[in-house]
Amino acid sequence: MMWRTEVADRQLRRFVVRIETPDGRGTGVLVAPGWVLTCAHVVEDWNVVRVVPDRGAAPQGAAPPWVQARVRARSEARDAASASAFWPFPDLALLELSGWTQHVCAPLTRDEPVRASEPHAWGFSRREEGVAAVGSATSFTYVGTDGDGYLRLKAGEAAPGLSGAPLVCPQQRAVAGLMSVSRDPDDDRGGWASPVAALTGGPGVPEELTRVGYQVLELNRKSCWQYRDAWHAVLPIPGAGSLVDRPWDGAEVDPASAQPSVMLRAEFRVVPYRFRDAALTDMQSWCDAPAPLAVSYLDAAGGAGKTRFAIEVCLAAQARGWVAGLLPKQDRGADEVPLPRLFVVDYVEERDAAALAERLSVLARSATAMAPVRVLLLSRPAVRVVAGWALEPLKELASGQALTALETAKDRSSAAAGLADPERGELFDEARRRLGRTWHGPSWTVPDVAGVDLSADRYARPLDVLLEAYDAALSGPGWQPDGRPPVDRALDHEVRHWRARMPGVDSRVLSRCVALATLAGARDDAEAQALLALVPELTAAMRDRLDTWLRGLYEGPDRWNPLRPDRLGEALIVRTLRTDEDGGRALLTAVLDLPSDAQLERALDVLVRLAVDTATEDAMATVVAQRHAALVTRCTEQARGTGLRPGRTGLLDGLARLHVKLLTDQRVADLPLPVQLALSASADTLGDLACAHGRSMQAQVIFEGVFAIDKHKHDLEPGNTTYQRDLSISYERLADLALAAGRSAEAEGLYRQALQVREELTELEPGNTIYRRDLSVSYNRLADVALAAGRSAEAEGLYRQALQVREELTELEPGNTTYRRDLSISYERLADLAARVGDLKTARNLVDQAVYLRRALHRLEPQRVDVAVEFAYTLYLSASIGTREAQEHAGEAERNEVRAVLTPFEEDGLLSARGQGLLAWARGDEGDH
Amino acid sequence: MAERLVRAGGAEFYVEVSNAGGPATIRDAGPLSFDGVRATVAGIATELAQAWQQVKPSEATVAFGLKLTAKSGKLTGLVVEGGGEASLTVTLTWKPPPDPS
Repeated sequence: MMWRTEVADRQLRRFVVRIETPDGRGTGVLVAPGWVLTCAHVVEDWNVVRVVPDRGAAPQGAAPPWVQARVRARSEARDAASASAFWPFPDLALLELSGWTQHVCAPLTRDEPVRASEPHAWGFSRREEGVAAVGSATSFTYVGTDGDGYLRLKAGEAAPGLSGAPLVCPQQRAVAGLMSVSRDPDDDRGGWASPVAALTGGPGVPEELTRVGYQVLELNRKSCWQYRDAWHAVLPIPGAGSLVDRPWDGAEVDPASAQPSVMLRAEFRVVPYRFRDAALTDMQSWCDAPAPLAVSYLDAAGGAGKTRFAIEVCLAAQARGWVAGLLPKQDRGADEVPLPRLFVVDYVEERDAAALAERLSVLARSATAMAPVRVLLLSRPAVRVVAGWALEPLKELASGQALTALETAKDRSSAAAGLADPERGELFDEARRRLGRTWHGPSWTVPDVAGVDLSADRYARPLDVLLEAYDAALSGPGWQPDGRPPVDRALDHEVRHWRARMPGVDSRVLSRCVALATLAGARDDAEAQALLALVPELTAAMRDRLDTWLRGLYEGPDRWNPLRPDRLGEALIVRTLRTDEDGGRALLTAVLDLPSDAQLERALDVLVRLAVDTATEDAMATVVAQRHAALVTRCTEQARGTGLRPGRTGLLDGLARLHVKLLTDQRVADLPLPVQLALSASADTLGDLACAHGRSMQAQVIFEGVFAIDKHKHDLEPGNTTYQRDLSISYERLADLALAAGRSAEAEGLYRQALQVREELTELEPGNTIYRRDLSVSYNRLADVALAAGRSAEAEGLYRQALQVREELTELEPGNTTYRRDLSISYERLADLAARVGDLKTARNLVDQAVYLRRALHRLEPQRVDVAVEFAYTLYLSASIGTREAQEHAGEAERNEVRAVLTPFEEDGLLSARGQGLLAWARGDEGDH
Repeated sequence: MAERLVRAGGAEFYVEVSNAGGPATIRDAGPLSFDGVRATVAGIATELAQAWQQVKPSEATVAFGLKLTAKSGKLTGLVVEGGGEASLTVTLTWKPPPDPS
């Protein structure tokens, strides 16, 4: 999208100064602390001039009425006999202000204005003969650069006094030149400008001007970002606010049509924001820092005030001209707008980490000191992890600047610190008054009721104080808290208003419908009907009525939107589940079986949030364990994608988080054994899927859970060889994860435990080929660890043990391709090892055997890209050994064969990054290899 | 034609100047100086006086018009035929100095 940039003259004038000499006047621009840039002919041969700044030139306080300035460097003087009206190029002068540095600075650019663009100038050109100039604006069309370097402009008025006025290029958002010559002062045919680039020297530019010019350009670069808010106010981009969501814009409570709960929503800002001034000041300092990209996170429980804090931070930034708001799920081109930007990501743990990491990378590329990007990540704390955990999946996937910003992210938990006792009382009184007047009208008076006890721990959270005040304000003069949590009483008010709008409908039906809308949401008619089908005994007419009611109940982007604040919606779901005789098991099962992936994604996210309520956790755990295999299948299918739809990880993220939070070892141990066994298998698949998509933290926890099940099974039946083998696989998976995370000692220990189990199994059943193959895998894994640790002799011994087993297996079943592939791996490992120690003869012998096997495997299945890439790698290994052997034309045959094998896959777009690397090597593109 | 403020000695007054056109630096140098016009008249008179000193006519009279222009930000006179176009009409009369004998 092309953004149109405007120029605000009232803001631009802050950067412009009038320059007075005893015999004339001109214009200049503030470019660095204590420095003004103007035209040489404005100061002529005067050494000291008077500079008159705009009153708004000082960011704090008023600017001085005038300042003396000394001319530090200038272009050569014009020869009086010259026939040309132009001064010698570049007609620039640098003035140093006497004792005044606290002023704004306009950014300079050495680039010429964009061709055919409309640069804009503001200066003290004469409007009337004999009357002092008040300053005026003018625009031109940029034509190009003349032979001597002057920037040629057309179609604009350049009247006397405009000399030295900054020529602002809206596209480059910087000063590209200074107005110096008019085509004719009496008309509007344009003129010429002196380019800023000339400060870096060139033909005819005096050395002193170049020397001071470089110095001032460097000062400009280092200092102008400090005044970026003032500068961006010069160049507003209408419509840039649409890049973000700002639900607080225009949010107003209308008691005649709204549900009372809207008053509790952060975006309506019914109750003034208090007690967090220090945190807000910190956020402003964070925004004001020079770093192009910075990340902060706030990890706090629901109701702690995260969203309200983020809104207040956004409003403060918005007031200073930033694009500030919630980062929409669908990208709107936020990287294309060169303005300071603040993005809030709510429920970051529910976002697709890969997509968010990619968005961060794109934003990082667009972030500069002048147009920085700030990202505030909001999350709810997870079980068994430390603050900031929600950043971990992003860190795994991010790189470059984005990764640096995530690794240095600032914790803003002070913004969600618990309220002290006096603060609770103050907030309660203020909230009751505001909520009551908003709902009942401005004349509502606060009833005289006894003081409320806010000493319980829950009132450390602002939302709980607000809920108490909400109950008090809506209950009238006879308000008496009944001992239930305030969120339950707040729900009662909501239900009362539902009933008033839907007379004749059972409140349990209404509650169930809103609970389902909150749990799964409905974007279209099909999704709405799927939810209505979960409400028993509804007639078609009643379905229609409920659908219409739910569509108008809460504002939002979907057909049915959730009850919010989220704590209130979650309380409704819990209440609904508890009301069911089976603890909500049937309802949860039905929700987890909804055909819409979008509804299932939302339900998984909401269930993760609910997985802290002890009364529903057990029911949820049972249902999730029972539906686990089906859910994993859906995750796998969604992640794989189809020809028409790219793969997504929304379900995987939701299920993995729910699994980690809900299916704890203790809770799983309480499940029936058959459920545990099935869970172990599907969790293995889920862990693999999580690993494959960069969710190694969650994969670790999932595999630990699988290990606990496998261990439990093994303990129950120590003689069960199937269970023993499962246990060895669990050891190996955990070892793989530990190795990938760089914990090699832990990995080695786990591999050894896997090996021990496998040795026992092989001893028990020497003829079992599955056990023998597992054993060879263990030898290889341990050999890899030993080799990485520099213990090559030990590694060779282990590789040879693996080789022996594999040779035996291949001899037993020569047609088994798995065994032949394993065997070739052993040959390759040993060949590589032999080459490392200089035993090239052995290496050649081994690698030739590997090439023979790989070639045969490729010929058996020529359509398999993985087999082709493995073959190509073996050829690469062979070539590298040939090079060490100093063979003539070393590697030529291998390169030819790799090209022949991989090129067809490349043409079909099937080649992996590894395959592309090998093909680049084969083609001699060493730089790409 | 445009009006320009002119300073001559201690006085400032407006003159109508012809549009000289062409590029000009755009410093605001305040009122134009009349010095250029004075120099124009003085220059013409000096040149003519030298000629008349040589040929020594019994009397000579030259009349010319001056149109004022502000080319390159300097007020100067442009010699034109006397008549409506001229801002100033100058008549120079030369008589030979009396014979000292």
